[in-house]
Amino acid sequence: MVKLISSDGEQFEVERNVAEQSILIKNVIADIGDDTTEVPVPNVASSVLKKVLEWCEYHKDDPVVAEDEINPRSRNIEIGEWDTKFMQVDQEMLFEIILAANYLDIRNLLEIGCKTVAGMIKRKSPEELRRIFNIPNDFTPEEEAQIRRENEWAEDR
Amino acid sequence: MSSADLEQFRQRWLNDLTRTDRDLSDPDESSQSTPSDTPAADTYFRPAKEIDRVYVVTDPETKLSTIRSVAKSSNKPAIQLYEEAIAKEKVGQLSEAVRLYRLAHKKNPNIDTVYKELHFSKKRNQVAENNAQDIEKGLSDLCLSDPQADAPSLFLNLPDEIIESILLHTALNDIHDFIALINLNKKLNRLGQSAYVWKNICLATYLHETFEDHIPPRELIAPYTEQERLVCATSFNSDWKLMYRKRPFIRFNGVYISTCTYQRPGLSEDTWNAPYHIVTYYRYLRFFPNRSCVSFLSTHEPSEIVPKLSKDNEELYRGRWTMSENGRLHIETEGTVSRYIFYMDLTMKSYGTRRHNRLTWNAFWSVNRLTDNRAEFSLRHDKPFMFSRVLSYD
Repeated sequence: MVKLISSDGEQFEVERNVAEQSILIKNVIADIGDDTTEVPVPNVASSVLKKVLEWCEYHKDDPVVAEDEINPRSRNIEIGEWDTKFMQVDQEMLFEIILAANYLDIRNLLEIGCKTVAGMIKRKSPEELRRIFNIPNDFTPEEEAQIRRENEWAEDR
Repeated sequence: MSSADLEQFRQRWLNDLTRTDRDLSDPDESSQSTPSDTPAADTYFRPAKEIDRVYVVTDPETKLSTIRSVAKSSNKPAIQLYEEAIAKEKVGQLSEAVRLYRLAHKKNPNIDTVYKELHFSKKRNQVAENNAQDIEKGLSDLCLSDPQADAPSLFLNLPDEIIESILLHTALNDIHDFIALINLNKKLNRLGQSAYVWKNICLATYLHETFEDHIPPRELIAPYTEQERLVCATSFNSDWKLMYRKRPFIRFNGVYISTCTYQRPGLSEDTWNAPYHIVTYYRYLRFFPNRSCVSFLSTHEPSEIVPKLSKDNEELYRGRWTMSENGRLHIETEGTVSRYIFYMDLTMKSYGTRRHNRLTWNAFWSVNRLTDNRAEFSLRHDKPFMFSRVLSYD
């Protein structure tokens, strides 16, 4: 078992293979070489860490895929049912999970998080996108016109 | 004729004119309301819809049904006729479309402008409605999660490499969503130019990996990504974005349709008319990223066939495809007779303002599996394939 300590001091005791979904934690454990060590996770709050560990628990038996085996085409594969449900959280939590997955180096979780955000972008008008993600327009009118011209070629449907 | 008579006649004529106008806009309503307004008008003038029914009927048994259908369609308001005509034209039923266009224009010479206004404003209203709904929804979301209206964007504060990954996934879903997104903001626009994003868009778009059987005409000289990198370096100056822009590719989120029409003389009972049949048929091609495709030849219209073009449909002919760097597309499919294999040689071109949306024919032939005999088909009636986006294929 491994004890993980969140930024706000909460302790989570999980099986080693659950925790080792995170390459960061795996490396830390390998460096220390002791199963019962406490591993501090100072960048992740307990509410987020709880969620991340829930994902790791569910996916602990997934086969490991090496980085260079990822086919660019397989990036298009749809998110599974369980993961879709798992990602049904508010935007703030979604981005927290993505940041935690990035920090802990859990590649599949990061990938699913990014896909989920991409799914929220699908078929939205520019106005909707601005509102959903709070994106300000920092172009001058001239710049905006130029950007539009540059990207005109891609606008056919 | 006395001036009083003339005045009376003029009055009736004017009444009748206004009546006909109303007739055109809504025949059902006017037929109920007008008789009390102008009872006398009917005896002098028949409304336009009645006149349409006056036909010289030589053979009542056979022509009755067509007259009914003509009378029925001429009862519809002009705008409805115009819409039907557009629908018919879209699927290639030209003679029917022309008939409906003529009827619509007869009823209202300015029907094209009316149509444009109606549909344009419809769209605008819809957008406005959606926006209103979304704003309401957005407001309620905002109150729950974030009381500050102008809080910093969580999305834009993500690390660059994560935003790039999200941009890439957006592009892989639909390149137009990606373009819309990077047009929003300086930071997004900058990250949207990254070689990482465009390289992966290209790798997902140009599928050069190995596939079984005998169709690949080119040897794979290097691993897939390495080969693409070579193509990009030699032909496109290592600019992945430029490559995506210039190099033809197959789209998977829609269908390629070739609408073919030809005329054939019909038989006539007398020498007074020489009927011609306009025959319309469609060739359908849908491609899949794993190098397979389905092909179908039918006289049925796209609205009927497009939903059925799935990989699992047993009625379709399955095939494989491969495309060269400069857009030469080879397709090998099964056909009606299992003894033959069919080969299509097409070239991808751009048509109008759109890129890579048209497949023109170079050759079409079949090969007998047993004898290896090759037989060319004439391409006299065959028109180029045009791409149509199908949202349900996403």
